[in-house]
Amino acid sequence: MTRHGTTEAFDVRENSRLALADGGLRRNLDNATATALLKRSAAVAESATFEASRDAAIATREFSILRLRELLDRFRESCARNGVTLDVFDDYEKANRRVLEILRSAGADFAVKSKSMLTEETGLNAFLESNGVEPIETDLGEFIVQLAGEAPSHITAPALHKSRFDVARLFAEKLGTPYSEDVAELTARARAHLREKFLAAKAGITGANFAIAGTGQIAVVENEGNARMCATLPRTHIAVIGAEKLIPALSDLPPFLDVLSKSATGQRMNSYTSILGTPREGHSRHFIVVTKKRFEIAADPLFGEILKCVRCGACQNVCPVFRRISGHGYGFTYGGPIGVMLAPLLTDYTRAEHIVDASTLCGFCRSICPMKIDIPRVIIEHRRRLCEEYRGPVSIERRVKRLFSFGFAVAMAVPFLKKFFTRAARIYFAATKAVFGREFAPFWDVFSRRHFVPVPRKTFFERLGRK
Amino acid sequence: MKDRALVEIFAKSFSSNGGDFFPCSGYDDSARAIAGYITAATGAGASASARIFISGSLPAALKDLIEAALKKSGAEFVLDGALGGATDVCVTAFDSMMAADGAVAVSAATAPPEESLLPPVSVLFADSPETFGNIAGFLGRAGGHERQITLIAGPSKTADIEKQLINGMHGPGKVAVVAIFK
Repeated sequence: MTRHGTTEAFDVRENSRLALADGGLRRNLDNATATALLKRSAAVAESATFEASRDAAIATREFSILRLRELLDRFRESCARNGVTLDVFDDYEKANRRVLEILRSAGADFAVKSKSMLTEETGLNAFLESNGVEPIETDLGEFIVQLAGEAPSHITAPALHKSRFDVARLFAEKLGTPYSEDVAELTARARAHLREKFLAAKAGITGANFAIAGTGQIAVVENEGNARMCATLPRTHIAVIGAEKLIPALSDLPPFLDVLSKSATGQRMNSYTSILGTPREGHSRHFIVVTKKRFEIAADPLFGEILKCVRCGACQNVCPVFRRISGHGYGFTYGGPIGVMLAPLLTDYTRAEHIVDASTLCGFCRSICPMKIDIPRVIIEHRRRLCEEYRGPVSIERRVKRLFSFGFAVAMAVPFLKKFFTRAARIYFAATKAVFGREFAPFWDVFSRRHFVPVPRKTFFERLGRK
Repeated sequence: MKDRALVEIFAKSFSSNGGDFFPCSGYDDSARAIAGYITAATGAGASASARIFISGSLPAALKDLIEAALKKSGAEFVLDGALGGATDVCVTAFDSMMAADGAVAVSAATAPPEESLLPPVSVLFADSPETFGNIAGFLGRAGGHERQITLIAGPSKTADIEKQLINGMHGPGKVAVVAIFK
């Protein structure tokens, strides 16, 4: 319980403390995010079209955000022409109920499912399970985290926090297969296990990367082939789509494909792009559009920009906070800079109070975002609103901190004070070392969450001057 | 001349996406390329017998020529009457090529989607396919009213475990495009 409301805040501080103590997690995150960044850089450097595609995609999104309702109406008409059912909900539970209703009418006691952050947002899996329908995640990363009973920790690489040793132990325990640390072998086991499910499934659930208003189709982009299987093998296909995914025409799609493939996975193009509309004979297709908070966000001149996001995950890969605590550290569906932007809007400032603080505002995310979203500006605005409109009276602890911060800022800004305090600090730390055998600062733990670092013997400029 | 340049660009892009490309001049040539690829991709004859399904979307004459070429190569194989769970290779049709993206389009009207999805090895064939500079050109022509179009740009792959790239996660781990250009 927080002092501002009755719902529990996302506990970023406790999650971060646990994550920072986990050396294995840090290694896995460093390896995964560094590899993703290298691949992205190479793909962008090789491309002659990336910048032009980026500008075209941004223009389309800006146009679409201002006309979401109109595009939704057109999408509804186009779907009706294609023989696809369309339901629109502004409520997660109603959307989940509709999915359940379709699954029940298809006679499905389980459904194969491809990666969808929106269904994480709506809590679809838990809802289906509680109603006796088993959702089976089929993207390898999602399959791994589902077996582990966890949520995805990254938008495009849900299991990036796990090593192959973690996966080997998990498969041996949950699938009953012999222990193997070989990645190809682990992949083959997941493939064999899931193939049986695909062939027996009566219904498949996917998300959608884009929804084309003019043609009533969706585009699903992937590399594994599981979304293709979910959408085409079972007789019933359900796609759960965020309203912000709407674009006007099929001709608007190519720049997005160009931008997404390079930013998300560092590829010229993803292995499969499925453009899905009219179902095959004997099959049925159902689109469920979730509008939750989307229209309100779109109407805000600053926050509307967030809806340009194509969910590539590039901002997560560069974020120094994400790279230490992973998506799980935020406790919210979306981790990293995109999560910091979305959490207060999709929940409220009470719950997202600490998430809004989980950014260094270094600006790497802004520089890498293919849709040029000014992420730090959005986060600063969230912090402003949080302080001015939602946080209660300033606590004594915070007042003391502010006083110290102000004093420190003055000391560092005035050259002779800076010199004086630096020398004084050196003498102080030398004295504590001589007396107590170590350098320490009293009350440090009370006033700071950072590790204590003593003042060095020489400043950077002094070292340079000496050279 | 323009088409030849596009085909060359496609060859480079598709190969860099992880696929194999065989430009051919006629059915005989195509059948030999397909048989050679199947033998190499499955090890048929050397260590195993391959179960092959040749789609009804392919011309009957080509189907006979592929069978003859496989027999001539000494490959051990069984021709499946229908696509099944045990099928190792499916030879099916595609519609168009997109040069710069290294992708081919398969419409549900041309061939059932599962044919290019279920077996571990996929061979996609077209006689004089329309070749576009990029996806934008293709989608501009397609008009968007086909019930389902899949753009295939290489094998199925994943890097979900330690970012190690593995081909053949759910779909084919090996993909070849064989096309006749006259």
